[in-house]
Amino acid sequence: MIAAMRRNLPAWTFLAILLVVWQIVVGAGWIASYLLPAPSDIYATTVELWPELRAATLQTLGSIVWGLTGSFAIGVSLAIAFFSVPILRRAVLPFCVFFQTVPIVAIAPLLVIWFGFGDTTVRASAFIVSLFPILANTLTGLEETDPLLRELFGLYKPSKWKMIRSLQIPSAIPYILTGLRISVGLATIGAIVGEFIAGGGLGSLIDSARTQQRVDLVFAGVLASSVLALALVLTIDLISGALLRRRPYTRSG
Amino acid sequence: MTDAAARADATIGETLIDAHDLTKRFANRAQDTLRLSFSIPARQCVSLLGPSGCGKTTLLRVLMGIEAPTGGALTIAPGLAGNVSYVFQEPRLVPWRSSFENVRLPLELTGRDAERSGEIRTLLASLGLGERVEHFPRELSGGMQMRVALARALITQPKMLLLDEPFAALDERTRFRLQDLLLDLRERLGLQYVFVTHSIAEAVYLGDRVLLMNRSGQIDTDRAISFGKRDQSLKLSSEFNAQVRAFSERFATLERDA
Repeated sequence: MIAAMRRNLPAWTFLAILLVVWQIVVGAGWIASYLLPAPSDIYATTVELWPELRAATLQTLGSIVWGLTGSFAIGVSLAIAFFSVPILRRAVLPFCVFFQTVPIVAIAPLLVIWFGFGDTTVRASAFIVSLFPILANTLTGLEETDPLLRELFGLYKPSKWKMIRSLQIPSAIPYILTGLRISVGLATIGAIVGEFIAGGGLGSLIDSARTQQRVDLVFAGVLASSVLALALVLTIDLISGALLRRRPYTRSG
Repeated sequence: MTDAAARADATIGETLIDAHDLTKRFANRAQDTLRLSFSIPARQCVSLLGPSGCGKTTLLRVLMGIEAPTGGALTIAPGLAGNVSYVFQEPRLVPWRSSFENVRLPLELTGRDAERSGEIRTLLASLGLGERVEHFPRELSGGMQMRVALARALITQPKMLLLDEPFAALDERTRFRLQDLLLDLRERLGLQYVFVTHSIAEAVYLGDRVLLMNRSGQIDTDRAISFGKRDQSLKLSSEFNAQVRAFSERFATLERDA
């Protein structure tokens, strides 16, 4: 704990200096506060509008969790299906790359047409951007099992499904966790972009603050979304750590 | 049963493994890795000895069916087929499985009753791992890991064990203890084994018969070994050392020729 604090000391010091300089620069009027509000103003707004910020954050969190759960379930299932049926993989995987390459901002309007304004569109948006990393990582994990263990398991001539269940899936667990860690950040982006267009949560709070020229509130919203993403990554890390401490899913003993 | 009695029995027992002009050539090699004939009667424990790279491991893998032979005939007695377990050079435990779960693995994968937990615990305890049942491989010493690997090979109640230099990476004390464990298993369970090693003393100590292979994958020397009783004190006896010396001289010639 103390070691971690010491390691992060330069970063905290830099942040503190940045905040002080920022406060002075804006306070002295060198930069107009309607362009860049002072840290103290952002803080005051956060305290004042805490109930709204909190509600918006929770709504966004809900959409992220929905999208991420969908990505996890469908990404892992698809990866297992692709791994078991190579022809399926060659047929469908190229089109899954679509999910990775298409800019979410570009298809968000389409999602509104399909799912209307509201949570469904936001969840779909979070889902689409977070699917690929989980799918790709799981597939890699399933493929990169230890050849020595494959040989060992092969001695007992198990069925293909038994082999997948007892060797490939456990071997893929660290990869799946890495995929989740990447996807949770993407799902946050997907949810907020979805909310810009379909409404609700932090996305619409930031968007309406912009139309009202409330730069302080825009900053508060941005800050809330960063904290949210960070908290989600930390949660995934904690879950991964606890899981791997209980059972060492590693490639070699 | 004493070793001598086992030998006498073996001479009249049925042939379990018969290799006739057995050859194995890997696709990327110009020469055969193996070219040999031999047969193993029931109850006989065989040490496969030879300089490194002579094809001992390949022979063991062919016997197990991991590798297919390229020529000749390999006959495995019907009673033996499917009743052979293999022990790799390294423990090769599944890192995310406890000792217990590692031993249960063959039962799960072959679809046999995997709920024989009492049996697994008894087996682990008999190998001195009673306190390590729930430990993961990374929490065990090399010797303990190898004993878990032995338990995994034994849980299917095989008639024969094929062991590929299983104790080579262990310290001497642990190696001696595991050698005696193997002799004990043989005594208790009537277990028969083929033991690959590059240690002459180990080959002589564990085998009723030592097959010495040369670098061309042929059998150079095939000699029966018989001792009254095998324990570590045997290694100090003159009869044991005479055997070791005889093999040492031949072994040295084989290494020089290469």
